Amino acid sequence: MKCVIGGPIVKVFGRAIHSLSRVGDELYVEPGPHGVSFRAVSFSKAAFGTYEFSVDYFSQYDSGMTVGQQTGNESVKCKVAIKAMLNVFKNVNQLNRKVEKCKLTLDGEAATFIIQFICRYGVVKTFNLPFIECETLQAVYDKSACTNYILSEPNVLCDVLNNFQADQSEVTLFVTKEQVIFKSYLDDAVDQTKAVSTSVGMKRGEFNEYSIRDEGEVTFCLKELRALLGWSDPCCAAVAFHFIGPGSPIIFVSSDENLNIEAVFVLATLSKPSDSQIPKLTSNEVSPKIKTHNVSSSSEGDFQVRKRKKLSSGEDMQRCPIVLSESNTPGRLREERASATVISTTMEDSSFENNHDKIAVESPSALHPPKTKILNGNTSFSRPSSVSDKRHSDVASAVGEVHNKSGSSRNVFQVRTPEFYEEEPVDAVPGTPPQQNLAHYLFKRCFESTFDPNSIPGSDIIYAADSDEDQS
Amino acid sequence: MSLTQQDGEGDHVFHAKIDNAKNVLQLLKAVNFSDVATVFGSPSGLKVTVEEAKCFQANAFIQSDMFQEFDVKEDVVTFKVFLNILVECLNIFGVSTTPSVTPTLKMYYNGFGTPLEILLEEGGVITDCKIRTQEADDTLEFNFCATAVINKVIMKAECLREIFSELDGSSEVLEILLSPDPPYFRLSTYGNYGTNHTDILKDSDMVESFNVTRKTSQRYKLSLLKHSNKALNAAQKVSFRTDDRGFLCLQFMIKTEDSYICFVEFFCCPEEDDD
Repeated sequence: MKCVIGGPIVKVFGRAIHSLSRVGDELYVEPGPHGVSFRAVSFSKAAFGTYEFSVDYFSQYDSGMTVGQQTGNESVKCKVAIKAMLNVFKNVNQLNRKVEKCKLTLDGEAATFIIQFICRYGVVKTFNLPFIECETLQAVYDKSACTNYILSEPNVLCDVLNNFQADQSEVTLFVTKEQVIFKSYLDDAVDQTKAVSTSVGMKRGEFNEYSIRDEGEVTFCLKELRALLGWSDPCCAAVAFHFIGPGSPIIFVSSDENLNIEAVFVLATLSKPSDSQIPKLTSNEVSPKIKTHNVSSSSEGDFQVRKRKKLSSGEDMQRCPIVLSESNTPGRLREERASATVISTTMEDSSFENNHDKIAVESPSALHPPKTKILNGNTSFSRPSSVSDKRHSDVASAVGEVHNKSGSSRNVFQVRTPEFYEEEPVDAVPGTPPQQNLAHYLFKRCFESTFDPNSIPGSDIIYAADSDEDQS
Repeated sequence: MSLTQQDGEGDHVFHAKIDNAKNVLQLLKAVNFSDVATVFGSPSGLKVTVEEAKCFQANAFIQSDMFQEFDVKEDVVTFKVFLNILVECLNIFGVSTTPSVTPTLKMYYNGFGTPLEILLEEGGVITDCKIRTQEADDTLEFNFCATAVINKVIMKAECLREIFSELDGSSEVLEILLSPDPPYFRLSTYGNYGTNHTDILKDSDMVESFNVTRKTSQRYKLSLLKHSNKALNAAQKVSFRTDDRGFLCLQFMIKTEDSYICFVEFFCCPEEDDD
């Protein structure tokens, strides 16, 4: 193969190399009769990227296939280390200024990929990169089978993705017929209390074309999409999404019609739907809002956070479905649905104290049928200083009535027998200590219940009489 | 200036005064790749020599006419000084905000065993430094004489700056090929990711003169040649010369702040052929 790229468009090629370098470690070069494709596949084979440069992109193009022997003598297909290519295309933005012409040559006999920059001032830079001959790299995907299709301007997508944390690895795309929500995907390994959850919603009007037949969600890696946008955005090439649903690949296509380049990225998607709740699409949220919340309790993004905000104020607590009842028989079972949401948020709330440490967790085997759980808790609303005598009578059961999603059984609790409960609570799940008076809370006198200040000898002696009322 | 009346100048083996210390500083910085420098003072000026690995030498020449006062009592005054400290002292006022205000420099040296005394004054603030000196060792003598030079190229530094900055750092050596026939002037690196060549045409706008009589190709340690980067960045023109032994002499023409034309030169030994 021999081809020549004109100076002003070398940077487009350079950017494609940079984009592919974020997908894989090796660059596959495959010249064909109609152009040459540059491809990369990720180490785990979960992502595949290809840039097809058509003959028209080059000012000169020779695929290396001799006309007579097209069947027998195929042009050389090879792969080179992408780091070597990056080394060549180090400063993409300066290429314009310096390079007048760029020649690419695949020398099959010497097994080198030769890149030549013909620069100003008669300087010629030649890079000889050794390559390994290989077979065609081809991902198996079918764009036409995809039921969902969105076409978006690259800068719009960049604006959306810029809202996500730089280390966010996956993103979930929720689609309905009217809108799309990009939400950060937090897997189970992430400490949910520290993770930042971001979700960005966009109406269908934000997109150039919008055709959703199957509503649903797909979760895919952000890195490769960012890599594609790194190329599409400067070229102003619109990006199309083709996808079906979880488990089948999502295909991104971006093409620059002026330069006759087509970029296709195929990414694997998570096969199981994420166990988070699909964000509720209420009318006031449909506008393309961008929200970033620091979710401190679970992965249920903005749904969760809204709920939590309600809980944190005193009056809204009334609305929260917690039934308080005087209960000296807290071991009663109830067929109720408990909500992970309610439990975890009440634990956060500082006005709820001293409760969950008295809740014993049921044996794990009983946790699994999630819909037949009870939730009884000792919920005392008093400050720790006055807890001593009242706390046992203030036993209440908190029953969450919000629907529990399957799989969130970790937050379902059951109370043991009353005697056990009153004597020595098993501290299976300690509640969050109150922020204030932490020391008092943790280190209160162990004899407090029997402590009587009047019994201390000398407690009746008054050393100084009360001062005059007027002065106090 | 208050500096001039301080003490009698007569008893110093060497003394010099310059209105703008930055001229000196610029040249010293260009050769500041190693700690220790040997200073040779003669009536024609100062020569500051820095060496590394017994095969690489840099010389900065500071002519006496750059100085307002320059006096050397002996034929040659020689001492060794810590270059880092000298540069730091001269730079003690930093980059002045007003370009018209420049630090004035006075230097004294009283001979063997005495410190190099420096007085710097800027805007009424005086810094007085004494830098300990050492006895000078012998410096390398490359015997690079003009008659033995076989190839010589003079080019603008701008072009070379760009090329040097993009050399493959993973390569141990830089091969310099000079030839009267194509490819004329080729810089090659042999790095981890393949071989790179950079060719410069002999009739390029960047090349001012191209006197190549014989094809030569020699390898030099890239890490040593990289020491010339500071000089290259300050330079306007560069001359490449190789002699019949393959020794390389790089000369950089540097225009100081006050438009004095000064030279910094680097000598480098070639790598031995493996075979």
